[in-house]
Amino acid sequence: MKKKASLILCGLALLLVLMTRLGGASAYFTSNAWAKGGRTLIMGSVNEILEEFSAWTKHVTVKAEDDSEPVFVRARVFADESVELLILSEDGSWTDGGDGWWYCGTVLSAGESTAELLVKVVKLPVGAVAGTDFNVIVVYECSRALFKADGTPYADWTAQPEKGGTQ
Amino acid sequence: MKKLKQFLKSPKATVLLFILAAGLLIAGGIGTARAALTAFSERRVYQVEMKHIDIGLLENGERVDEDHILLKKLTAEGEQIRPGQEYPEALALVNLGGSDMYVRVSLYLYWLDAEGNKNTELSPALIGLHLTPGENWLIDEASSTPERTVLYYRLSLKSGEKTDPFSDFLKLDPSLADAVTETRTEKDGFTVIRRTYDYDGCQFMVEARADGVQTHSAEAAILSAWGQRVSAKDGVLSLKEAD
Repeated sequence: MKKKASLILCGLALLLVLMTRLGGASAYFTSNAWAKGGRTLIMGSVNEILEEFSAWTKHVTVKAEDDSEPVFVRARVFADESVELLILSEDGSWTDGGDGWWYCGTVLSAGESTAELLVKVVKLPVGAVAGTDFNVIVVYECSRALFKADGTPYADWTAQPEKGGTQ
Repeated sequence: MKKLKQFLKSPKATVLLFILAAGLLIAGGIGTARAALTAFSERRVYQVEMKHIDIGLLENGERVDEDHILLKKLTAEGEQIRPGQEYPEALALVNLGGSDMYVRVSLYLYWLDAEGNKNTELSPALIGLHLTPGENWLIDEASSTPERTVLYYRLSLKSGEKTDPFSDFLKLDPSLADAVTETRTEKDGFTVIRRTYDYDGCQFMVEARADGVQTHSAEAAILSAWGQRVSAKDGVLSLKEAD
């Protein structure tokens, strides 16, 4: 009987000690708040080159697909020296960079297309007759648009761009 | 004396004492009632004020701790974020309670992959949340990691008071475009060199967890609540190095 009473008293004493500690731990007032958020980064540039050939003229446009990030585009035309070409941009959105490349001045957002770049064959190769093959190759490069701190877009053509071409 | 002892041990005495005790209790109750009646003319009003402690998180001046969502207005709706561009992201804390408090904030920057899982191989350093600790925010270097930054505000915040912002803008580092995988494909006379960006489709995350604690017995309270040894002299907090 005495043993039982001692055990109960011990239990009570332990409970009291624990209660004292709990009181101490919760004696301070605290508060907390939280928030979190994020954005998905779209970086892939998916583009296609569209081309029509009529009246000895290539009509070249480049289209950024719907899931493309904003890009800049430039194009270069290659042909045999004997083929005389005239490259034109009727609305002036393409400009001759003087380095062999024609640059589209506007940034191309998802789903948008460039204006036409016209590549006219002015003079055929010497001795060309019906059935003679010759190539006019258009190569284009896309560079993802970079942005300054104020949001102004620019292209960095020194970085390896995405390439494509037609002939 | 013997007789008295015998009487006290008898059941009669027990019953008598019980009746006496009950009588005293009832008399006590009546007395109190009378006292209440007599004291009625002397009306005194006591006000008990239960002060509470409550902290809020502000993003560009607006509370965001209610819906717990950050970066909602980082860009215009439907506009993609552009690496290199600075987006305003001023984060601060506010004391919404009735008591003064000391505050701290833990900032977490990390990446989620396309499936929404945390990707620790992508660098948190490229999520450029620009911090502005100034004079009043202390960066706890010992508790900070590449993913987490812990900042303590030196001054106690009074009710309704805001901290100085601890950040001012967010700018993704354009060098994240350098992490690429290149593939070449030949199709229908085309040669396409396609570069896949390692960060493409990943989600960058900013998470802020703010804590406030009472200013009374601040050193003990902060050690108990946050596990940080501090000195709080003249209402100014400073961090102590861990033992």
